[in-house]
Amino acid sequence: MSPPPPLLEARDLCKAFGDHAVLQGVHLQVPRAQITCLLGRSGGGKSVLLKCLARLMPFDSGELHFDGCHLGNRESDLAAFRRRCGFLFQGNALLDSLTALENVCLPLEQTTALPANEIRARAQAALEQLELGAFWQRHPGELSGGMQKRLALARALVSEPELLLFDEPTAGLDPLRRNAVFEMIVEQQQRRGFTAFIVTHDIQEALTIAHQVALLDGGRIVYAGGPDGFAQSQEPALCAFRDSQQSLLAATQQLRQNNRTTQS
Amino acid sequence: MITSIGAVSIAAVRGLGAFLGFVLSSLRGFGRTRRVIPRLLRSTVEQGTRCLPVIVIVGGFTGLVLGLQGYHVLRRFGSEGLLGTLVSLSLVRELGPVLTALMLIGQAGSAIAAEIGIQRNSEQIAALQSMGIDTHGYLVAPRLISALWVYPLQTAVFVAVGLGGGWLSGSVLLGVEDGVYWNSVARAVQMADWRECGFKALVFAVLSLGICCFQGYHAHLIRGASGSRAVSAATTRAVVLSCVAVLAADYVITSLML
Repeated sequence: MSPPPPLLEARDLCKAFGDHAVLQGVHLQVPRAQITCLLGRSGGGKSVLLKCLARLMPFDSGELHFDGCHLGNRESDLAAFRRRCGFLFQGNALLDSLTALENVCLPLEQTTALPANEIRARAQAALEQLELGAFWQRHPGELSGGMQKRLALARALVSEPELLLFDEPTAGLDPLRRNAVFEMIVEQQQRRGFTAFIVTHDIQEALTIAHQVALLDGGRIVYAGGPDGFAQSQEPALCAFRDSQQSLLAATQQLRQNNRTTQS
Repeated sequence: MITSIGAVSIAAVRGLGAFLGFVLSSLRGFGRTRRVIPRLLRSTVEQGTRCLPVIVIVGGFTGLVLGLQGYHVLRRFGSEGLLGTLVSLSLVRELGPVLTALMLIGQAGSAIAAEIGIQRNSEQIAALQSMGIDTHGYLVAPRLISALWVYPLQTAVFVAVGLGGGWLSGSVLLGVEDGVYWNSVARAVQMADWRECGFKALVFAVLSLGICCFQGYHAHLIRGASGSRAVSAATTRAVVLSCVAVLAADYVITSLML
C-alpha cells in the first residue's frame, strides 16, 4: 500500500515583485498530521511563500496540490480549501470591532449553517481550552499580546482545520511567552492531530518541536527533512545559516557576560 | 502630450471598470454571507443616527439662508408670495440631495474609508479571506445597501427641516404670511420633483459610499505611501473623489431630467 500523499505540496512555485524574484522554483511537501517548520533569513521570502501556500497571494507560476488534488483558481476549489485550512497571522489580525467571543464565532457563523447556540458553545469551548473563558466579552485591544495570540489560535482552531499555517507566531514575544506559544501549538497539534506549517526564526525551537524542517535560501528550498539531518548536514547553505545563528547566540551571550562584569 | 493624455484616459477607464466591478461584486457577495441583519443595522446606525444631527443643523441653516436671500430678491419684483416656491424647489431638486450627500460623505464616508483602510493595513481583510469569508459581501455590501434607504431618508429630513428654516426666516422674521408661504410650497412641488430628488439620493448613495469603500479597501495599493499614511491618503482621496462624483452626477442627472 502506497503512503498517503502529503497534505500540501508546492511544485516549482515562483513569485517576483518587479525585478526581484523572491521565490525561484520552490518544491516543498508538507506531510500530514506533523509539524513542519520553515526557516530562513529575514526578507528571504518565508512569509511570501506562506501566503502563496494559503492562496492569500497569487504566485507567478508553479502548482499547489492539496490532499492530492491540484488546487486551481476555481472559486469552489478555493472555498473548499479554505474550509480545511486555518491561518495564524504574525500580527494576529483579530477584528478589533468584535469581542473575543464574536471573533471566534465569526468563521463558523459565516461559513457553516450551524445553529447560533451550537456556534456559541463551540466558540466558548475553544476559548476555555486556551484559558480565555473569562475574557469572552473583551475586545482584542483590551487583551495582552500573549492573550491576543491565544485568541487568534482559538479562532483558527474553532473550525477544526486539517492544516494550520503559522506566520512567525512568536515574533515580538519575550523568551518566556515564546516558549509558552510553542508549547501551546504542540499541545493543540497533539490533541487535535492537525498538520502545522510554521514559519519561524527560532532555530532551537524549530529543531525541538518540528517533525520536518525546511530551509528557504535564495528563493529555493535547500533542505527539507528531519531535524537531526538539519543539525548534522554539511550542505554549505545550512552551515552558513547555522553559523549565523550560532554567532548571534555567542554575541548575545558575550554581551550578557560583559553586562554582568560591568554591574559587578 | 498625446501619450500622457492617452495614459490618463486608459487609467481613468480602468479605474471606472474596477469600481463598477467592485460594486457589483459586493452586491453579489452579499448573498454569500450569513447573519446579515446585525450588520445592516450597524451600518444604518453608522450612517443614519450618527449623521442625523449634522443633517438637521445644515438643513435648518440652508433653509434660513434661502428664505432670507429669496425674500430680498423677490421683494424687488413684488413677488414675496413666491418665497415658498423658491425655497421648496431649490431644496427638493438640488440642495437637499446634494448637501445631504456631501454631509454624509464628510461624516460617514470618511469614517468608513478609514475603518476599511485600517482593516486592510492590519491584515484583518486577509484574515477574513483566509477564513473563506467573502470580504466584499461582509464589509462593503451592508454599507452600500443600507445607504439605499439612509440617503433618501436623510434627504427627506434635510428638505423638511430646510422648509421649516425658510418659513422661520421668511414668515416669522420677515413677515410673509404663513398661509401664502405653505400654499406656494404645496403648489410648487410636483411628483416629478420628488422623483428627481429620490433618484438623485439613490445615485449619490451608491456613488459616494461605493467610492469610500473602494478607496479604503485598496489603501494598500496607493503608490508612495504605506501604513497609516496610506490610510490617510485613501481617506482624503475617498472624500475628494466622492464629492466631485456627486457634483458631476448631479449635473448629468439634472440635465437629463429637465
